[in-house]
Amino acid sequence: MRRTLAHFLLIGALLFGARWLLFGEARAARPELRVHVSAQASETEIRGVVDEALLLELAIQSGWARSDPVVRHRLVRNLKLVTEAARSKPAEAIDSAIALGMHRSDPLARRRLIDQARRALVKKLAPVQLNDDALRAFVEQHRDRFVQPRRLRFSHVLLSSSRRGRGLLVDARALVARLESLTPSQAIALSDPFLHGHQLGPLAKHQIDGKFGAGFFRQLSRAPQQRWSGPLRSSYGLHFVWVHDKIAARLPPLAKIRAAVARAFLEQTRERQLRAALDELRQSYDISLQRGLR
Amino acid sequence: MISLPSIRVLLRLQPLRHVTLAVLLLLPACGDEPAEVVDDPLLEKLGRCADFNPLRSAYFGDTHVHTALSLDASLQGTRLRPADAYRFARGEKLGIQPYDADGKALRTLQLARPLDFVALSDHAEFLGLVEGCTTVGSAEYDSSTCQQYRDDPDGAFISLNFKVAVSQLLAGPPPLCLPDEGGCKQSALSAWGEVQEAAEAAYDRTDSCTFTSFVAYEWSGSPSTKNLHRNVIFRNHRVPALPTSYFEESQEEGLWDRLQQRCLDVAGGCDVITIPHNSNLSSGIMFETVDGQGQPFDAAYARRRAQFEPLVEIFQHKGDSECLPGSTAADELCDFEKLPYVTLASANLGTDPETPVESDFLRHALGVGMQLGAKLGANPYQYGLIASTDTHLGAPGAVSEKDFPGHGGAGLTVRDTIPKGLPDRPWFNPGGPAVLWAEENSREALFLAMKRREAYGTSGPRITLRFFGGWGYDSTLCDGQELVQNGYDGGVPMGGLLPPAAGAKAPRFVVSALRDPGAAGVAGNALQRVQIIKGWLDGGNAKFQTFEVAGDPDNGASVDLATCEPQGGGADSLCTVWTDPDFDAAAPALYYARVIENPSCRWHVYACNTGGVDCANPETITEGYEGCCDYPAVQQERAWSSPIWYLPEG
Repeated sequence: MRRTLAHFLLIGALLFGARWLLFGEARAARPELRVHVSAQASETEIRGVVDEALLLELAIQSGWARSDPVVRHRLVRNLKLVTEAARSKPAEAIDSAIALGMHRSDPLARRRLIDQARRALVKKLAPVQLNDDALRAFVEQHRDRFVQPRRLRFSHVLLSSSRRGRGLLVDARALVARLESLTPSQAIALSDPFLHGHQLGPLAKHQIDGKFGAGFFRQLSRAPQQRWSGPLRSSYGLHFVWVHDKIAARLPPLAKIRAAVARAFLEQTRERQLRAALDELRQSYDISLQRGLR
Repeated sequence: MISLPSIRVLLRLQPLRHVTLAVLLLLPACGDEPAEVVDDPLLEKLGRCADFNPLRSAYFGDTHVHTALSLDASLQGTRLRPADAYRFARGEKLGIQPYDADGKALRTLQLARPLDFVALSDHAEFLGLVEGCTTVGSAEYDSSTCQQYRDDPDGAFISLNFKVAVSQLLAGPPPLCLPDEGGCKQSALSAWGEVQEAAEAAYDRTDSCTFTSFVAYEWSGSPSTKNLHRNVIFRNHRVPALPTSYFEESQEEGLWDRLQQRCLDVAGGCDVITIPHNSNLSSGIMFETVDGQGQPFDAAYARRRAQFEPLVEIFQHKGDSECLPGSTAADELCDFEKLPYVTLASANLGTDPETPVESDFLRHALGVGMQLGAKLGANPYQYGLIASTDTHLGAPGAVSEKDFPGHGGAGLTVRDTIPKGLPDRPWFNPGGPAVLWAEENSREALFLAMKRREAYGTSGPRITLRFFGGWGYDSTLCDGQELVQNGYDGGVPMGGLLPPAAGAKAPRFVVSALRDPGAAGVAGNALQRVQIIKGWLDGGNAKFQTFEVAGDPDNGASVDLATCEPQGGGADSLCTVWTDPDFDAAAPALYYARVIENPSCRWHVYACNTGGVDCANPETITEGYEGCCDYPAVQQERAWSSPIWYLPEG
């Protein structure tokens, strides 16, 4: 036991030493990358700016500032504005433009180089495997994105405010007692006409509010089931309601949402892969944030 | 692995603008050859939704939407792609152009109410070029055309759009996309795949049926900038391998030929309609009586046209196409959102005002349709009516007057900075929804509603409108609960053809309208009146008459222009049973309903008020607000039903 422990400690010490030596050497050799961010930049914004700086460096190190035709065209065009010589000697013009840092400062050239580098990174990402188990697990992790909304099925009796005017509340009080003995089908005869009908659903919030006005779904979802309640106020008047069913929010079968799940799964997986690739790239530099400076 | 080999997913990574990374699922696309399709699980039948309603419900949508896949939208700085547009339609708040150097949107937009359905209709022309010029590494990306596309978007807008504005004899793709050069085909396939994949991912196939997407595109023929555009909408996910553009088929008949070959004649369930729009900018060529070869219509042509084109857009961003003020078929309410131009180019460039031509408007077309119907036995212009936006921001259903950001396209470009003053040129408007009466919110039910023309349009508000025609409707129908059941039992809904009279002396119509219920923080406006517009043939001449059938045109309602608060009375609902008092059983006729809201502020008034403009004080009319005082401040929003037609027996 003691021997095993001694071996374990020895190996640990060796590994630590090796890591210190290797990592320390690597760290000492890492170039500095200065990144300018605004003084108020959030963590997310800083990460985005650093990512772009890393990608720009990757593109420049890869020689694309000289080889990419779009960047070359742009740099020559820029320099033509400065000197006539650029017209006759485009190769020299590119050297001059790069010496002046135009490949970093010109928005289009910079964007092109960043996009090229990002594309190069993406091309190296491992292909994403889609299978039902992975998609189901993804759905479970993101229930809110795929859940079928809560829905209500109900009947209602409308007392139209524009039809009944000042008598609306009196009519509503009178209707309460009559409704108690009536089924929804019978009670509809007492309703003012309503173009969307008197038996609706099951419908989700935006569908109900779209027919009755904002807030009606919220009132309706609080109403008891299988008996009359109300009146609830809509854009058109007062409604006595009979809620038949309240269908809870639920996850549908994968087959019904496969395309949406696949799209979201792929997006997330690719974003994570790219994030990991950028983090790896970041290890090659000492990042120096220059806040509020330019 | 995924079990559906026939779905294509084209993945885009943020923050890349739109790099396509993987083709993982393959969507079915029909080629020129018939294909056998067995047990396609994505084909559906009526009755899959839990709220199936045999008496049909009203669904609000937008069938005319452009995203960053469209040339003009892309060059104007639109970055929302199909999946983004669907997210917006379903109620998500999204950033819209302009964007800063870091790609952050400088404006946001959100619908007060989600839509029920959307057809994204990106231009078929340049679909591959746009994709190629904006996708790093594509075959087209490094071309000079694409360099101009990116470096000089304003110049590219003109030079490329010129290709769709040339005469039909000269129509052809830009050199970059000629077949010898590769034809931009891979890029076009990529974009069309994205359209299909986004539609599939957005479509609610559960029994909740909360949202429906349609695969669609726009055929953008506009010879000499005279507008002949059609939105091409497919019934389901079975679609041709690529859209047909003006470059391949420069006339509408050619478009229908291609759709016949590549869709209708292909096994597997492909079905399609085409919807013309902006006849107001066609300079008289949208509703001609001769075909593309100059031959007068015959019965077969008329039937074919009506089969492909059951609907027409009566209203959208680029104006109203119902009727021309001062023309022979006009009434005073025709003076509504009329563009003072006759072609796309003049509307786009805002040249000196032109006088619109009567033959560009739907009343003219409906009249000509009756004449041709009487002559040929088939009516090529038996149009149902819808509205839409034609937004080029990727923002379907953005019809609010209060926070209208413009729609781009022919309107103001907001690519680089937020403009001072008005967000759009003042002669445009936010457009309105297309509304369909269907048993459920599924592709199948909505497509069938479009085919039978049980559809209507509004200029923006979510007015609900029923319109039935028959011979024996009881005059008390509006007072009971059975209006809709009796409407179907005793006649036909909007878009239908009246059944034989069976001894009745005159047709009766029941029209019922419910005002927009509003949304959170946005009250719906009250209704002022309902009209029925009758058209008929008198000695071979088409005539029109407007009848006031419900409500009160003199209800005293108005709007406070300083606050845009409505004032005065109005109705939550209006309903009546109306009998044609001058019916001639020997004369073909048609009837459609028009519902008029109380007065309200036009969109520019909201913007002008925010900008502190006082038209009585010229000093307050600062840069960008010059249009504030040149356009009517007060409007009356409205809904138009599809017509119901009558044909004499025999």
